[in-house]
Amino acid sequence: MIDLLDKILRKRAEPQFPVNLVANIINASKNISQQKSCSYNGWIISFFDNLFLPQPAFVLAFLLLLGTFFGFELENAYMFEHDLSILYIEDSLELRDWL
Amino acid sequence: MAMYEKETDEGLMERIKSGDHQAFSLLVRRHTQRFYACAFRLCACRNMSEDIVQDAFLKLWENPDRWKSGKGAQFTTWFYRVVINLTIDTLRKTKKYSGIEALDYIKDNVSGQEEQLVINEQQRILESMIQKLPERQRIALNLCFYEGLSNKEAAGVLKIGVKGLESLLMRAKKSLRDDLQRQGIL
Repeated sequence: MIDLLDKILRKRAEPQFPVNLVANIINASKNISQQKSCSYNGWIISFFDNLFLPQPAFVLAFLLLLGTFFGFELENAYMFEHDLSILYIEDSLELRDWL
Repeated sequence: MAMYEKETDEGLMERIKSGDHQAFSLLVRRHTQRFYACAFRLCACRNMSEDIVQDAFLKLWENPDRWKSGKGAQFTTWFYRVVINLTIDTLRKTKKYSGIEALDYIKDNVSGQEEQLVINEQQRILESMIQKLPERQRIALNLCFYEGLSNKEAAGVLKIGVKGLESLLMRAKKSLRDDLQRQGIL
């Protein structure tokens, strides 16, 4: 039944096309000058339209490099923190000093 | 103009943005018939359809920056939305919608043969049923059946999801099927 309905729908007649419409539109447009949008909103929209972020692969490579660099830096900082020789222990402090 | 023949619609739009009138002429020649048919199927009035299509193209020429390229946007999808919105606005402003003219052109095809008369009668009934559908159902049906848009494209024109479009189509077809059964055509 659905197929028959589709078949009937497909048989719907095409509207007749006015032959002079194309010429009318083209002729009318010759008397109209184009407007260029220069509003603030237009500028913002066009800025973001033309702003393209880099390819994901480049972003990933950049992040990897960044990660590698800071990874080394953090490793050095971590080693520095765990170097016990730099820790200072006040041997003279005893319980009575606190009381 | 022949040098632009192979240019895509989107390419022509970029040329129009830089003031190329030849590109505009080619775009008008390429698409006027399609968008006229779209407007006529919605408003069923020749004069109104002509005005709508002319208005849409002239606005496009006057302010081509309204078209935003990129993100895979298709010119036709965007322009369908422009034409459909203009048609709906015009119909609401004039409150003139009869659907009568949509039936007129069917009469012209009568060849005198009995079979042709039956087909014409069926088409007349179908046309009046389509014109009675709610606005959004009519638009969905027109876009998917007669303008050759995919469900995804038609959903984009109507700014709804594909599921929503499918629901509109299903309801339109159901009420058409019921009406056609009542008329003894199905």
